[in-house]
Amino acid sequence: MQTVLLQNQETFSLEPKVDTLYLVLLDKKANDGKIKVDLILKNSDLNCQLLFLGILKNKSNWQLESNIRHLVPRSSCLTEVYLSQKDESRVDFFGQIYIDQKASQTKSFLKEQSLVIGEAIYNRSRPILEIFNNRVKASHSASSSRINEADLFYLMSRGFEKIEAEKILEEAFFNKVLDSVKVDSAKELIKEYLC
Amino acid sequence: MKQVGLKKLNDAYADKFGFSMPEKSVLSFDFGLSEKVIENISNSKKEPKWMKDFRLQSLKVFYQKKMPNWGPSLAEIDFDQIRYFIKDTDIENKTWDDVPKEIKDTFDRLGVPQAEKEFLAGVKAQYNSEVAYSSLQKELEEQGIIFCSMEEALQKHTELFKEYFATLVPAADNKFAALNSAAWSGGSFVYIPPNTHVKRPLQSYFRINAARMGQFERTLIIADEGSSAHYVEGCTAPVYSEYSLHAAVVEVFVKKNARFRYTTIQNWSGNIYNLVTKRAKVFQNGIMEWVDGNLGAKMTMKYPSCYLVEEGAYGEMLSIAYAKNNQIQDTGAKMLHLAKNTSSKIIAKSVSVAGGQSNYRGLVYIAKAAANCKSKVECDALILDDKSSTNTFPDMKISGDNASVAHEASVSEIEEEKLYYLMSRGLNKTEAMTLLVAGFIEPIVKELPLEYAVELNRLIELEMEGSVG
Repeated sequence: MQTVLLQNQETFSLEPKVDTLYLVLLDKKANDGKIKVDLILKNSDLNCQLLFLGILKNKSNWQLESNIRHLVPRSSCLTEVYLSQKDESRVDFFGQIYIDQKASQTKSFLKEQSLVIGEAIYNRSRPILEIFNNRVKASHSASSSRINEADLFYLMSRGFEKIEAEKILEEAFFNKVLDSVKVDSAKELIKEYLC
Repeated sequence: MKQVGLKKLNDAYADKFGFSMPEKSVLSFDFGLSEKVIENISNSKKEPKWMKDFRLQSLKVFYQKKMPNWGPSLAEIDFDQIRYFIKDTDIENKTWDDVPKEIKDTFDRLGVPQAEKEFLAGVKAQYNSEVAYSSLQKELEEQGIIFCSMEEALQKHTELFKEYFATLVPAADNKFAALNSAAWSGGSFVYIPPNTHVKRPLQSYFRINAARMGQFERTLIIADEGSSAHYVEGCTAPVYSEYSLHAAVVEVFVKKNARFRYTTIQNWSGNIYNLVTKRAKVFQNGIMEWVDGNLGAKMTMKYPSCYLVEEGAYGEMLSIAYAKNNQIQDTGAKMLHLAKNTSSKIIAKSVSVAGGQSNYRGLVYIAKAAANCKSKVECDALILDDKSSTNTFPDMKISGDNASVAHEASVSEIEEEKLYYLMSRGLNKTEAMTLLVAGFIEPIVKELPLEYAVELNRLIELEMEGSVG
């Protein structure tokens, strides 16, 4: 599987010919941003992955959109969005999976996870499924939850300052993502981003 | 499971629910909507001036509001080709013997009097625009429970009625709420006094008999502090080639520490547009549960909601949608967390078959002031053939601190392996698929009272027989 880093643009219209992992790393320095990815699967037996990663700092504001369209039989796509949200950050995510009537034996999944670290955050999530074929497997999941208080307490009882403990738990959240990525070139890009 | 005499869906529905009776109304107005029609409805009910004014004001709102620009198309509905009021009996009868013959025969065939005898605490039977029969067990009446038609509540319990009516679903809420507010007729008023527990369900049965008719009942429920009750509604209509419209409004108030369950088994015939606004306001530590089964209608657009307005309130929605024969079931739920420590759960299951389309449309909203809220949403869809489709449109807006929100949705077909296993044990394909569908919806069916669970399983069985295999 090849890795493609999507950067320096707001809108991407993609029609992959070979198995591809698309990586979107939200600019940590930007206060706000907008990214829209349209991924159209027109070739059978194609496997793709779209991964958004973001560390949203105080008051940053992001709009993210993914539209995955399966138009032929036997394609698969995994869309994942992992975000950590700090004080007063805002994110609005729209993720659509469309499976055409002709696209039998499609597999398509969308997963969005937000880890809330600070106060007064805003998170809007709209994971949409539009399925017009019965011989498919499709699902989405979205969750948003605060950093685990018990984990935080454990680390602080071991002498870490709150801010350090939060940093460790944020790293742990992203390490799980790193572990799930199987492509080495993508792993390197993610490691670099998390440093 | 029986092998002989399998009927197609429409035959089965027509036999049991789709029959019609000759029209013998005592008062009805011509097709179309106008100030005059609304005034006539109000005059026929001898309403106070404030209600007539409310209706006329709502009519203005209806004219101003546009049709929804989202969801399935409602272009076929022509508001000038609908009759807005048909009254079939002059009085709300307290015994079945007094009910006009055609109406009594209808409800006999639907099994309502028998159900009343066996397991219900009270019954309302609405035929076209008005309640034709009403009953409540004497001991419940003595406890101060009110279960009557909306018209009776307006006359006899005016202050209570006025305090709550249209405060949760105002006319300006949406076009069909405005239409209902202008043309409302019939529906149930329920009041459960503080710390009173109604152990057997209260039931309303809604029947449209006429073609091209609009039924606009309005239901207002107040479960006072510490009380609990279960309300069940069922609906059917004859099979006509022309469409009819059902646009109800339901308002439920669940006070501090009260618990209320509202169950709907909607089995309208395939010519009904079912466009309903249902909303509950839940106070401190109150529990509101919607259980919603949508099997019938040409198109359903219904998203029962819970406004969780005080600390500790809980809202739950369990829903089944079964879309077949080009039906559109556009259903879902809305949970609005407006106070801290509130929680909610939505479980929605849908089955699409024979060109049916089922959509889940839902909202979880957590306000900025609502800290420590929890919400969980699960939507599972089953598609049984290549002519059918399913969509999910969830929306989660989270502003409150320390919120925990999880949403999961999945779409799948019936697994060949399971089908093969059952068929290798001697079941034919239809029986095997019926069993697997029954297993799929079982988590929700088990929440119904036994009699309804049996009926729902039987309905699904009947419908599967005509649709697959």
